[in-house]
Amino acid sequence: MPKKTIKSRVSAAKDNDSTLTLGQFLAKTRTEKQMTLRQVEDATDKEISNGYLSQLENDKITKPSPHVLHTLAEVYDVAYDQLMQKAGYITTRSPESSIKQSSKQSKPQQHGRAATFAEEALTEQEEDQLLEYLAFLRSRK
Amino acid sequence: MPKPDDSALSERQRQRIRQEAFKALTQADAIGVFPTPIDRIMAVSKVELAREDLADETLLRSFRSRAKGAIKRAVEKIRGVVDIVARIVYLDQALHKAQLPFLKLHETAHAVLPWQKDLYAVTEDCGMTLDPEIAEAFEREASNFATEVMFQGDAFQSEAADYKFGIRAPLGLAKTYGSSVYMAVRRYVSTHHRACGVLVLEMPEVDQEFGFRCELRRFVSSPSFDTQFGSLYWPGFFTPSDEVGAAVPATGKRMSGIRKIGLVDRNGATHECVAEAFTTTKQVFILIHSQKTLTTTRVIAIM
Repeated sequence: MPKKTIKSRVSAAKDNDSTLTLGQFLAKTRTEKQMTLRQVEDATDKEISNGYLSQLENDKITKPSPHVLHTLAEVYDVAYDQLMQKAGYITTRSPESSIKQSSKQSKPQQHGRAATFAEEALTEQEEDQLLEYLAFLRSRK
Repeated sequence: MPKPDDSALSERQRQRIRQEAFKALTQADAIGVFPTPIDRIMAVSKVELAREDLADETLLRSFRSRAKGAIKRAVEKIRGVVDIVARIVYLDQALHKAQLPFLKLHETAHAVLPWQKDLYAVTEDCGMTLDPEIAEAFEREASNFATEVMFQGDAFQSEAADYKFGIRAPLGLAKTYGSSVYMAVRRYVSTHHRACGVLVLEMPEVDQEFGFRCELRRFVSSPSFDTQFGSLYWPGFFTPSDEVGAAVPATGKRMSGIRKIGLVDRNGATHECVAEAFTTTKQVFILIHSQKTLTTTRVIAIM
């Protein structure tokens, strides 16, 4: 069976399990996969110890590093971005937020859509334009 | 105002980044090759360097945008960006050549680190955005990847230990490893076994009252320095009237002689320290290292 890509798993994952915490979702997924904590530890080449995973599942650790979630997403074959959402690491941007930001003209926080090295954080509008500009350059190739 | 720490990672993250850096070096057959062949690293990472300049006026004119001002401001702010979908790195063409290796690797990291590239592919494509804290963490990870690849794990540290301690050591190592002086000095201090630190200052600016002033960009220290001195308070700027400012090389000179200054450790004991300075066209570096404990000396920083 071909490996599912992240994007293909996104829509299916969005509707389910929305009320579960990250820990509850991880515990439920592991149970469904019929894996023990030790088996997960082995499957991750000991990157994620059974003790650490247990703390994650009990919501004692709520903010694991993204690379930990990425590894678990691969082992469980679930959407990585879903885990990232549950950890509060990614959010859906509302149109209101960009209006609010540009009207306040406050110093923007680190932008979060484009992978850059920047002297100063981009505003949402600048970041949107940059991504469109990159897409434009891509289309010229 | 000093810049925030742009390198701090948890031990778990640091190990993971090291693993990915080692993987890239191995695939590029670059272990033990100095300076690290950056182009080979990019090639095995399937990342391409763009020839185009994002700030090119012709390109910008041909980009039909409703917000021309916004794209111009964005381009002015960024030094590098990677198009994750096309795996193309764009760099600011006005960058000094010493900065290029680091930036090429920094942008490559965003496209190589699995947990980053998979996410940027999503955020680039839809209305999702990373939490600012995570976006900053991704920046620190990318910078750590770049330095790990350039300095090849402990190779730099081992070689640095063979040099006589002082500002000349990182200057020589910068050439060997193909890094900027800034990167080499930071690496030198942060991995050295001695209690040492470096004050990175902005270039002197004319000051009516004092003659000149240098803003503090950041202070980097070794683990043993932190153990001994804890978190020292440093003023936001230095002038010729204070001991650090007095060490700044005079106009036209690149180095200043060795000076003695005093620092107070965690236990309240004053240590005589040695300070020596070096300047590039971008920053002034004041390397400080502890010599011995004294009972009386002037204090320039307090815990």
